[in-house]
Amino acid sequence: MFRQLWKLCCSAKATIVLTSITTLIAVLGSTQAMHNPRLFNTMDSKPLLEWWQLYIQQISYSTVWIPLCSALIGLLWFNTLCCCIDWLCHLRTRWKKSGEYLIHLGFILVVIAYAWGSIYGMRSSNNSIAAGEIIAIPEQAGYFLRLNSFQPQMAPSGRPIDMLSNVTLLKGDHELKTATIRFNHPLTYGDLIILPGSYSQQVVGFSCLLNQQQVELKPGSTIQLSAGASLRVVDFTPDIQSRRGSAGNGALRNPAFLLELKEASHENKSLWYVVRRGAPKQLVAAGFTPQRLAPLYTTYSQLTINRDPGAPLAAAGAIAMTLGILLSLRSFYAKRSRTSGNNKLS
Amino acid sequence: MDINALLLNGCFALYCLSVTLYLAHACLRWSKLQQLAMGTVVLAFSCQTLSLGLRWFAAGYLPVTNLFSTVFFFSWALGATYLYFEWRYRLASAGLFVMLLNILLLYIALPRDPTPPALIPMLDTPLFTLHIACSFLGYALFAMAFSLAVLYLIQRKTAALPLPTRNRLQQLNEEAIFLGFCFFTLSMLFGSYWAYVAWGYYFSWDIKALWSALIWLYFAGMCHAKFIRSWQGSGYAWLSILGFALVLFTYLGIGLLMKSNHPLA
Repeated sequence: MFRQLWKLCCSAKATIVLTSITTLIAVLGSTQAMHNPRLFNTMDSKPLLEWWQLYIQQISYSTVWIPLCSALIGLLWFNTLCCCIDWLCHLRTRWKKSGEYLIHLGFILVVIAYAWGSIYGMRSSNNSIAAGEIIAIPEQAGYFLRLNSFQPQMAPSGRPIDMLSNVTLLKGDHELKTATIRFNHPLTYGDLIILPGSYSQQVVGFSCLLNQQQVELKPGSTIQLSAGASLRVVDFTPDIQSRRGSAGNGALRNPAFLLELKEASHENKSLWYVVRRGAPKQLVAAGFTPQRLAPLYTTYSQLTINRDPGAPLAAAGAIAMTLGILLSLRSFYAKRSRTSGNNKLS
Repeated sequence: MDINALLLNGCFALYCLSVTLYLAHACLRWSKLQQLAMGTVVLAFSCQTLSLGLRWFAAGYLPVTNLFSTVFFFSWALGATYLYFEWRYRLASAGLFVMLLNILLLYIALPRDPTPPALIPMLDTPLFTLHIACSFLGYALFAMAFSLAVLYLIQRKTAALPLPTRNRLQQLNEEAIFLGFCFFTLSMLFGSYWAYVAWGYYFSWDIKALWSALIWLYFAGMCHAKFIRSWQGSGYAWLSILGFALVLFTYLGIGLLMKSNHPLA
């Protein structure tokens, strides 16, 4: 009974049936992607399990093929594992098949790696960071990323073709790794991978003429006014409406500054300066009459930060498969050369 | 007419001539005709290789970044595959179907613009070259398996053509599938590694990547099917034909009928 069950688990027939059914279901299922691109196009943005949990409300009959195929791949994995164990038990007589079984081993490792990454992995895109800024790595407590410099590369047509970001990975205050990342050249550290995604420009303030002098109004800057008063820019928002509750996307709509006025004889005053309405009377009285306002832009690098704990195992699987392919080819041609007398066709 | 256009048109004309000679050999059975056909294929393949080499040298990278160049490279890989099988096994009239397929590919490619576009940094990596080269060698071997499978089924119906024996055709089909699977596995591995360094994940749910994984799975199953007696013969031939249909749909159908984010979809 056990022997029969083991034979079934190791059988090539089971492999053929499982691969055929998986292919058929996935071929039919994937055509659903045409009808529901909004759902399926998001599949690469998250690890599979997280995606499934996130979109479970939208999941209908059109996505049933995904768990079905996953279950079939699981069965195929078990079948391949049994074949490998059976081969190891008969290694003395089947060592010539080492190449083929290395491919099996590679498949076993890659499936484990993908499942591991799908459950415990993390994918985060569009992490905006300006030069000199530090951001926390998502879901990695204590890890930070600093952008040292950013340089987009443009084609003669003006289209961006590459993005060079010099970044430093930090653990607390300790620098772990510094690299210049661009397309096909990510920063990798353990199971963490940091890649260029895109870049954007945002308005961070305005430049203006004040008493015939060019000054920059952006958070942190201080302007000396007449009669010993000074003005510190506390904050800037490109859209005061979005700050007061409605949704905003960083576009310049109704820009406003939160300013702090310091006068020798008075207490510090916080005032909103909404650019479209003009400066408040108290600021005008203190000598704040800005002219020829022009927006000040800063460039943000948008980085993709992924973590896949299964990636090293997948690499091991890929190495096993490559070795398996080379050994299989060698044994195939060795076998053919043994029977070369029959090779030439009449 | 520049040298490249001359080579492109020359190889197309020579492949057409080889098909005519193979047809004449199938009807008249003069061995000299077969030798002449084979010589013509060698000459056509040399022109094609020279053209590919010149375009590679001029572009500075393997020119496989638009439909013309991928179809042309597919045709070149099919020519190389055919010559390999001919050199090892003397396929006789079996070459007719492969050369017909090759002519069809060149017929699709030739009216298109052969100028390679400027290489974008995303594709500027040896992983791309390895991925594409292995992929098309795999495709060519699956196309060879398809031709051999069709011949196997014809051989069952008629003995009019000077074809190898059915056992031999089955054996050659198995070899083409096995070699195709090896190259396609390497293509998948290089592609996965490239995806990892370019996008941060090694498996994408993009429709083309998914179908490529399915092709791999399908042909992995086929590599096992040769050990099952009931799947040998006609069953294996039909599986090879179905497999090539999957390959063709993944290569051309997805790009034309579906939306894919794959760099060369």
